[in-house]
Amino acid sequence: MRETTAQELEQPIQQLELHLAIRRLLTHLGGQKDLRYTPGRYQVLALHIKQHPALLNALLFGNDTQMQRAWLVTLQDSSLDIRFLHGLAVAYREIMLANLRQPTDNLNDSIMICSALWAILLSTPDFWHYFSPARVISEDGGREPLMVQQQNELITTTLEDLFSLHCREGKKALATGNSERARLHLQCLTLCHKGEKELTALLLLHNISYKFPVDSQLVALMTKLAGQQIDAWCDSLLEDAERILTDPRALAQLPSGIQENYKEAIAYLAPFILLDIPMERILLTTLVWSNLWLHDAHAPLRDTTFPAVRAVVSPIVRMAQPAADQLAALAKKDKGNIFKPEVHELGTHFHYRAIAVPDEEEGLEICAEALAWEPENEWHQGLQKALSSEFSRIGKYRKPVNQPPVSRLSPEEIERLLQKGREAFAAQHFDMAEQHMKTALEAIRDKEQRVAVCIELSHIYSAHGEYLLKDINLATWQRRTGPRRPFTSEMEQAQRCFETAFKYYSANVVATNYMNKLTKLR
Amino acid sequence: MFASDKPNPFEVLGLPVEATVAAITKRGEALVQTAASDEQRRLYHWAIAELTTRSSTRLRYELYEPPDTQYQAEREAWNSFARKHKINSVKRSALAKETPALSLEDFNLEALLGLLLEGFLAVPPTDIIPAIKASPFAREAIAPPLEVRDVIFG
Repeated sequence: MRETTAQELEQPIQQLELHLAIRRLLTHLGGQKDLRYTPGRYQVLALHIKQHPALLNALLFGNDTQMQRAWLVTLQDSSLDIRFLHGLAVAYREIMLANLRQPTDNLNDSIMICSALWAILLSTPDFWHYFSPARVISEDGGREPLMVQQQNELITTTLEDLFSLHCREGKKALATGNSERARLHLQCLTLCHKGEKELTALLLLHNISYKFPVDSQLVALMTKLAGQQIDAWCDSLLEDAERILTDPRALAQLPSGIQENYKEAIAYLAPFILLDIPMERILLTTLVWSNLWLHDAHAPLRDTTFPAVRAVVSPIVRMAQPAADQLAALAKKDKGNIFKPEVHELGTHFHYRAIAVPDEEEGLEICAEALAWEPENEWHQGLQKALSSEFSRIGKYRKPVNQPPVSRLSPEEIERLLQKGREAFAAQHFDMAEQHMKTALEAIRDKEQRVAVCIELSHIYSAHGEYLLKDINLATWQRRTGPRRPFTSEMEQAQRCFETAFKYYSANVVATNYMNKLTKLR
Repeated sequence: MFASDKPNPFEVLGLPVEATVAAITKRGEALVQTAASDEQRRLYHWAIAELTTRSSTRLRYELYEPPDTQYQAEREAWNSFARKHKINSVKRSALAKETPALSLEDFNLEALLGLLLEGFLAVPPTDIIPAIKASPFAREAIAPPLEVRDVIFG
């Protein structure tokens, strides 16, 4: 009877050691201890482990620090091996899927690395040079390379798989109150939406130095698909929130004067906002609803002293504050840009926030913020005056002039206002025309329409200025000798009109010419 | 993500991504025949269908499969080892014969020296009985010490 020799045992022992090493590596990368693994699957990783005896030794006998140190060296040595990176991406995907099946555990960084690695690999021509040959089964049973169209289809479906998984799982986590999980999924989507630089930076943070050049068209496809899933997530959130806003049962129980179920709708969006990954649509919607709510809540107040108004607006402002702060950070470069709808909403929010704080100095600072967003807004200017007054403690708060608030105007009402403005302009009732057009402008959300109305407003203002100067001969206004003549009140007013016309539309030639003339005359 | 709750069909069947449809069917049917449970049988049927029905689906599984898998080589290596050695158990004496004799390099001299010195310095447990028993003097020659009764009664 032949007995087993030591030589015969050596090979199985090495195999067993490698299996154990791979299992430990998968756990080290973030996998569960009982992660499913079939021997022979991660041969590409086994090869690199064999090439790095220090890693093998650390995986078999070392602690976490030793493993990490040895793994770092392997990652650096293998960063130009696209097959290794493919194997690693597959390993991370399986770790991520296994972790997602554990409903109670929080996810680790492996989910971010997985998404980043797949997104960037699929955008890398070198990856496709390695993967595409000999992939399609031909009629005679042989294997042919992938056609460009097949390759693009594979990229699209794979990215859609990945991104829709994040969208689906993120929504599920948010609904069950697991914000940490929801945040990770949203972070994965925003990371891929931002593009190559963010992806390589994230990978580098986890010691994967990605050196392959990427294809800009494939990166554009990736960012577009990630953006679509973010939009889909926001769409479904907003749809649900709007259903809550107009829920007939909730509406029946609202206090008088409150027109929609703002409180619950805003509360529904709050957990998403608290993930602290700003999404402009969600933030703007929250702010519009909170501004409408603020308007409805204090409109019926008879006692309009500051303390009385403050008591009503404070809780609402507090609810809207996270959304407003995030939106303000996003839109800070647009301060004063009337083309942007968020500018008006932020101006309104800071107006109410200035009232909500009991400290007058702080109130004034916040009011200055409202004016920074909308410098021309008379309502904010009025509040600033009221808060600066020594009687502000007992002074009256002036409610906004426009009733209902502009955010609530329907497209038909906006069109009607624009029509009235045009009619007033035709009849040379400039003040009225300007007022109607400005109110309409505040309510318009569509950027193109805003631009068109701004241009129209600019022409109304310059025509107004010209009208004011109709009896004045600017060419002979200043005497050749003697002291300079001061401007008449019409001239002062006309200059302000041209300046406003220029603000609404800087390419208004008439306004620019008159401004130049008047500046010279001064 | 499609079929994220199931393993990759290539992994289920233990085949490389280059496997032909015929090889997939053959291996799949063999596994179905020997499946230990209905659940496992269903998994094999599912894996065969996923890889043989639509080429685009198969392509996605190929993408999610690491390169150079060697399920078959691993399987065969173990099977052949098990076949050869399942009857013949390992004998230590036989293995010892093959093992090369120990040389100086096999020892950690520093550690060994430490152990040796510790051995020298250690004080052994005290036991004088053997010393008394092995006395060089004859027992009779040693006079016992005087006691009280010797003084009084002589």
